[in-house]
Amino acid sequence: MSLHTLDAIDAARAIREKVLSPVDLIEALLERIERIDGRIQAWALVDREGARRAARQAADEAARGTFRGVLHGVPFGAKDIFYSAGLRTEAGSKTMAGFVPDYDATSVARLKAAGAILLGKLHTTEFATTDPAPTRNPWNLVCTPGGSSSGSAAAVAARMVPLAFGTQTIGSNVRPASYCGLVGLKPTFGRISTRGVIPLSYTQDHVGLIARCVEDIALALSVAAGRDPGDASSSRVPVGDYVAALTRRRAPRVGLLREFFERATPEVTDVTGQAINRLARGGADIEEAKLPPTFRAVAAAAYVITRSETASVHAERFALKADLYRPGIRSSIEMGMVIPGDFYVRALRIRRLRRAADADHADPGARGHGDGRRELPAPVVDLGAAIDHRAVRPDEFGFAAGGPAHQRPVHRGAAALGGGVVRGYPRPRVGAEPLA
Amino acid sequence: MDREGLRAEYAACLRAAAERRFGAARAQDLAQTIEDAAGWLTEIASFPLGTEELPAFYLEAEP
Repeated sequence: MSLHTLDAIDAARAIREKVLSPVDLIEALLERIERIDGRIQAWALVDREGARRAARQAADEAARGTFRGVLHGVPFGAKDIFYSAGLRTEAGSKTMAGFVPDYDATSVARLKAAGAILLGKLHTTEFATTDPAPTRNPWNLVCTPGGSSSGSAAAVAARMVPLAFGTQTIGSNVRPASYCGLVGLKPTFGRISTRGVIPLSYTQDHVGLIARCVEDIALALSVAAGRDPGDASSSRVPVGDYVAALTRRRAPRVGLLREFFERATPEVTDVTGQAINRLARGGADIEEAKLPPTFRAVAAAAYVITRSETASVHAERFALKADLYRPGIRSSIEMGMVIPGDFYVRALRIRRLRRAADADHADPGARGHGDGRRELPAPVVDLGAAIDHRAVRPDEFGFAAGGPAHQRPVHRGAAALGGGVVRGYPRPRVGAEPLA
Repeated sequence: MDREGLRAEYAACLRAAAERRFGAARAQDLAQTIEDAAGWLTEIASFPLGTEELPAFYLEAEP
């Protein structure tokens, strides 16, 4: 097996068993990046020397039988809005050109403390909003990878790194994970600290994870999650053993939102139906479900909250550098400046009611929504459609109220992404490799 | 007022605020953004919220 195709959990196991050197793994990924990233442009910055240095240290420690944690020697990437000590962090924006933070985001620091190696920074749409990154979808270079965590998804899909941090304010982690055929998780609000992550919306920003298998997400979440005194909004709920939880099998309840299929392409409807049938044959309890009548208001509230808070986040910088902002983020900030305050408060109240309703119905680990995945395949080359509001999914808005959202691939579409069903369920062991 | 009337009123208010803050030309550039936002405000205004509601915006930290 080529080392660049290793998932994080397999790499961690192989390093611990001393059959894989972190140095060899890093070199394989750097070679892969060198060979294909010119076409994909997932990386804003590759820290070759820092990663090599960390890999040599990890290898020395492993040789002595010392392992820092469950991700010892495993490389990861971080969206370029995560602070990384000594590495440029520019958020895809000219207004941040040359900015070098002097500390790591808590999430980055926690992965490093568990032995993981930061390979570099991944392209984002400007400040995680709508102005696109240069990144292409590795399954088909004329398609967008989705956004705003564009580079995170593209790098993982292209086997340039097994695991990456993204973020999600409305749909920015699960969307690109979906477009690139990956597993994506936006955990519950506060589950992973946002300290050191450049904000977009203080009360709606979430750190997310993107990987090629569920086990990698569970492993990374178990390390990254937890209370952070530096983030007052971080959760005090104890961190579970998410990897062990994967082995505790019980039949899931799946809510099927048929109304979203009305806008789906026939191909998406067909493959999602097949996935639902497989789930049912496997023992899942499939139930027809309907979006609550409050859905549209919750979606509107999420946008109003985001715009208002974005305007607040950027007030000082925008006053000095408005002309350096690209059109999408500039319009968002300006709109946030003129939305009346009473509507912001009303939007908070609506979100609060929705959050309370979600809590009333929560059954963690046993509930999901099968929707049309993407109602549209990844849009063709208009990278401006990295965030395509025609392709809204219920989890993007329904869970903007702070609940978790999870994306899992079932299919690689013929229409936009090159043809052939290559993704399995639940963990695709055998699959095509983009740009092999 | 019906929803369409409400939406038009909100769009006019947002446009006027944008003109005051950013000038007429920039407000014109924001025309589509203003229409989108007017739709959100209409949804929010149409959502029934209880007059007796006491939102818990402040939560005391655990001891």
